Amino acid sequence: MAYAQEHAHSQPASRTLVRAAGFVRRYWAPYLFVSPFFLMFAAFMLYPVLFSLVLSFHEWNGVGPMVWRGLDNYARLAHDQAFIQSFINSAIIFVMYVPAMTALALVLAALLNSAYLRARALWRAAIFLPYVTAVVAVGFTFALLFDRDFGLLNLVLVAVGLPKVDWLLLPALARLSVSTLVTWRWLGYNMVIMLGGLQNIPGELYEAATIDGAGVLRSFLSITIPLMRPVILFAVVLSTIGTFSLFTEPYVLFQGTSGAGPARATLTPVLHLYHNAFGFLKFGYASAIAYVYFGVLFVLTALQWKLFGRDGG
Amino acid sequence: MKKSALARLSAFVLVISVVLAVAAGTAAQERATVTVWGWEYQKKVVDAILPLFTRRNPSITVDWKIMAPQQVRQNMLLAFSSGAGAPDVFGAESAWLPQLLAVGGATDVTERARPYVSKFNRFKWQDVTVNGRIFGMPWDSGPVALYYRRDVLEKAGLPSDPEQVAKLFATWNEYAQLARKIHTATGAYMFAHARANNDARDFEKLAWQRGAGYFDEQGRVILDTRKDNVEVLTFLAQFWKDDLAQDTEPWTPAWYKGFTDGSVATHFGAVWMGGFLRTWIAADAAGKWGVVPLPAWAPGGVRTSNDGGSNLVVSAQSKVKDAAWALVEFVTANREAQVTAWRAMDSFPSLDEAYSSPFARLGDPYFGGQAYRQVFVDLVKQIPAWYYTKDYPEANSVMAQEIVNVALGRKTPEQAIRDAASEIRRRTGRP
Amino acid sequence: MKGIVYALIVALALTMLMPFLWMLSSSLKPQSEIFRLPPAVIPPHPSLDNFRRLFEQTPFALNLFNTAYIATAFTLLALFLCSLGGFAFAKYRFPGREALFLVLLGSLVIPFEVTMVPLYVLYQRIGWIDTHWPLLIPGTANAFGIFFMRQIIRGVPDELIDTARIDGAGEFRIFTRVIVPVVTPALTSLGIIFFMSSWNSFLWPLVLLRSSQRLTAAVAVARLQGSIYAPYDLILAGSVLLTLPLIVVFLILQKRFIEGIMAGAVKA
Repeated sequence: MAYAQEHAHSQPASRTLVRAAGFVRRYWAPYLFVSPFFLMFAAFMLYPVLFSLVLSFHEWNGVGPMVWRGLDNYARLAHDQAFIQSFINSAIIFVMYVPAMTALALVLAALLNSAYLRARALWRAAIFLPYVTAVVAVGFTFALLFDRDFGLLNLVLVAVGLPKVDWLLLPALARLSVSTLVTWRWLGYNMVIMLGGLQNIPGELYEAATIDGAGVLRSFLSITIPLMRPVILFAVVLSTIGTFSLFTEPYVLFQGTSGAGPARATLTPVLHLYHNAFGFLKFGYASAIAYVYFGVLFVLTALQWKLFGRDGG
Repeated sequence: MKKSALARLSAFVLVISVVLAVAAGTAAQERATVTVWGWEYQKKVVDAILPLFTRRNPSITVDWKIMAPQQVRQNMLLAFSSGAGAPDVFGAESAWLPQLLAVGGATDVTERARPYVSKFNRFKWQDVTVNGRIFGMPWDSGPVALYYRRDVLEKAGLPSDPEQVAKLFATWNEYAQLARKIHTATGAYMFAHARANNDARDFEKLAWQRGAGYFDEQGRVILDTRKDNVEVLTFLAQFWKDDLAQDTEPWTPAWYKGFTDGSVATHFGAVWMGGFLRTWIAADAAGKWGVVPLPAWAPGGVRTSNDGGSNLVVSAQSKVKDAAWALVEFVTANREAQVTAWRAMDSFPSLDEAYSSPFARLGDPYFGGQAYRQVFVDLVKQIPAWYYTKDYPEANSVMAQEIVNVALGRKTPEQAIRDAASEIRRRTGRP
Repeated sequence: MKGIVYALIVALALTMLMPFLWMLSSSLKPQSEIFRLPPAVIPPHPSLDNFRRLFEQTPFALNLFNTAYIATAFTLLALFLCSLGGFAFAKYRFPGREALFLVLLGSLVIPFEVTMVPLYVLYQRIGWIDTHWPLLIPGTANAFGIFFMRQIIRGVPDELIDTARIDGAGEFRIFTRVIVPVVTPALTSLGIIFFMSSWNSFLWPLVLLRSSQRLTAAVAVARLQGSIYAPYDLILAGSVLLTLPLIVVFLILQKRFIEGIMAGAVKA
C-alpha cells in the first residue's frame, strides 16, 4: 500500500490501484460479512439449479454416460399418470384441511388474544406443542392410532356403536389421515402467526365498535378478518407450499408403498421426485419433475397473491 | 541324452512355475480380509458356516457389515457411481440385482462359475446373468407351495392329511370352489389378500407359476400380451368380489393374527414362510399347519412358483477377488456349507445336491410331523423361468397400484393390466 | 356460552396432547401389549425394556448424539453467519447492496427439492455422502436468517456503533461487542427455529446417510422398520427419545420460541 501511495502520481495504472485499495479499505467489512451467504448460494443453490436444468434434458442414472434427450423428459411428464395424480392428490389434501385449519387457527388466535379465557398460556402451549415434534416420531404413533384392527380411533368408533373404518386403506380416507396429521402438527404454528397479526391491530378499533353496539361476532367479521387479510394470505401461501411438498407424513404412514398410499392416493410431487431419483435412478427425469413442480408452485403462489392480496389491508 | 536333459529342464521349469503360481495364489489369499455387505439374516447364515470356511481358508478374515436389503442396494449404487467404497462381496435380492448389474457393479465370474451351472436350480441363473455372462452365485431359493390349516379343513368336514389335501386342491379351480364351502362352514377366509397397500407379490407368484409376468427373455413387456396375467388377476379379484379373502396388509399385526387364530385357511407362500410361521409369525399355531404343492392352473400343470431368494456377488471394485470368490464359492456351492446353513437357519439351498440331505426328510412337529421341506425339494425343479430385468422395481410399483384399483372396484382386471402395461412401457421405454 | 367454549378448548388441547401420551404409554409396553384388544391406556406392566433393547440392539445412543451435535453446531454457525450478514445489510452502505439483497430475497423462492438431485451428485463427487458435512455447512448462511437479523439489527441505534468506532473498535469487534449483546433475544428466537429444523430434518439425511453409526435419530427411527418386520416396541421407544428433548427445550424457552415464529411471519 505504501508503494502504491508513493508512486501514485507517476503512473496512471497505480492510480487505479490506489482507488482499488481505498475501496477495499472502505468496504472490506460488509463484503466479507455477506460473502458466506453468496459463496454458499453459488455452490449449493445456483450451481445445482443450473445443473438441474441441464440434467432435465438428459437421461442419466448417475453412473453411466449422460444421454441428451431434449424435451423428452418434459413430454413424458405430460403423460405420467403418477405425476398428474400427485398434483391432484395435493390439491385434494389442500382442500381437505387448509380452509378448516386456517379458520380454526384464526378463531383460536382471537380467543387467546382476548381476555375471554383464563390460562391462555397453557392452551397456547398445548396447541403449539405438536409443531416442535419430529414428524417421523409422531407419524408412527398416528399409524398406530389409525390402524384398522388395533387403532384407538376405530376402538372409539366401535365403542359408540359405529363400524370400523379403513383409515389407511381407502384412498379418500388415506388422504384424510394425512390431512389430520398435518393439521395436528401445523394448527399451533398457524395460530401463532395469527396471534402475531392480531397483536398489531389497535385495541381502540374494537372499543369503538363496541361503543357502536357491535357484538363479538360482528367485530370479528368486520374488523378482525379484513385487517388480518395479509396474515391469513401468508398462512395460506405457506400451507400451499407445505401441502405440495409433503414427504415425511405420507412416507411414514404408508411405508409399505414408500408413501404412495393406496392406489397412489397420497403420492405428492416430492415423493414422486424422490422415487424417480433415488428409487429408479432417473436423475434426468427427476430433474424435470423438480422444474415443473417449481413452476407450478410459483404460479400458484403468484396467483394467490394476485387474487387475494391486491386490495388487502 | 541331450533331449532328456532338455525334457528334464522343462519339467523342472514347469514344476518351479507351478510352485510359484501356487505360492502366488496363496500369497494373494494370505491375510486377506473380505468385506461383505448383507442383511442380518444372511450374516446369521454365514456365521453358522464360518467355522467350516475358516478351517479351509485360515488366511481369510470376513468383515461383515449388516444393512437392510434396500440399504445394500442403495449403498452399492452409490459406491459404483463414485468409483470407490464398495465391499468385496455383497448379498443381493434377485428382485433388484439386475439393476445393479446394469450399472456394472459386479465382477464377471463366468469362468469360475461354469463348473457349477448344472448343479444349481436352473431358474436361478437368470438373476445373475447378463448377455450370457455370469456375475454372481445363486444362494437360496424360494419355491412356493400351499400352506393350509389342518384344523380349519377338518372343521369344514374336509380331509387334512397332506396326501389327500394335495388331491383336494389339485387345481386353482377346485381351490376356488372349496373357498366358499370352507367360509360357510368355518367363517375362515381362503387366504389373506390386501385390497389397498397391495404389494403385488401374490399376483407375481401366480403369474410366475404360469411362466408369465412383466417381461420376457428379450426384455419386452408381456404383461398385456400374455393372457395368463389377466387370468391370474381375474382369479384373485374373484376372491375380493365374493369376500373370500381376508383384507389384511402383509407384514402387519392383523396379518400375523390371521395365521395364528385360524381366520385364514391357506396361504400360498415360499419355503422361508415355514420358518417365519414357526418362529415368530404364528408360533402359537404349532401342529395346525400343513404344506402341499400349489394347485395347478390346468390338470397336470406346474404346481409351484418362486418368491424371493438371494444371491452372493463379488463386487467389481474388490481388490481381493480370489479371496472374495473363495468365500462366495464356499457359501453357495459347498454342499456341507449349504446343508449346515439349511439346518441352522432354514436357508433353502439353490444347490441341488444339498437336497439329498436327510434334513429334508425330517418331520417337523410345527407342521404336525410332516416333512414339509421335502415338499419344496420335490417342487423346486419345476419352477418356471422369470425375467426380472433392471426395471422390475418400477414394474412392481406400477402393478401394485393397478391391483389396488381392481380391488377397490375401480377397474376391471383387463383395464388394470392394460393400463399397467402401457405405463410400464412408457416409463421404461421397452417394446 | 363460556362453559361451551371452555369445554371445546379443553377437548382440543387434550386431542393435541393425546398422541404424545399414546406414544409414551405404548413405548412402555411389549409388542404383544401394543397390539392387544382392547389396548390398555395405562400400561399394566410398564417397563423400560424397549429402551434397553433399543440401545443394546442398535447404535441409537450414537444416533441421538449425532442429532444433538449436528443441531447444535449448525445452529451456532448459522446464528453467527446470519447475524453477521444481517449486520452488513442493516448498517453498512456499500456498492451493490440493494442488488445483492434482492438476490438474497430471490433465493427464498427456490425450493430445496429443485436442488436435491444435483446436490446429491455434487456431494457424491466431493465425498460428502454418508458424512455429516451436508447437514452442517450448506444452509448455515441462509436468506431467511440474514433477512430476520437485518430487520432486528436495523433497530439498533447508529450512535452505539459510531461511539464504538470512535473508541477505535474494529468492524468485527463492533459486531461482537456492540451488536450481538443487544440482539441476543432475537438470536435466541432464531436459534430455536434453526435448532428445531435441524433436529427434525428427515428427507435429506434419509437420502444422504448410510452407515448405522452415522444416522441421525430421525432416520434411525424410520430405519427400524425393516423390509418385512416392524418392531413397533423399539420404534415407539425411539420416537419418545426423539421427541422428548425438543419438548423440554420448548417448555423452557416457550416465550422466545413463539416470539420467533411470530416475528418471522410478520417480517416476511
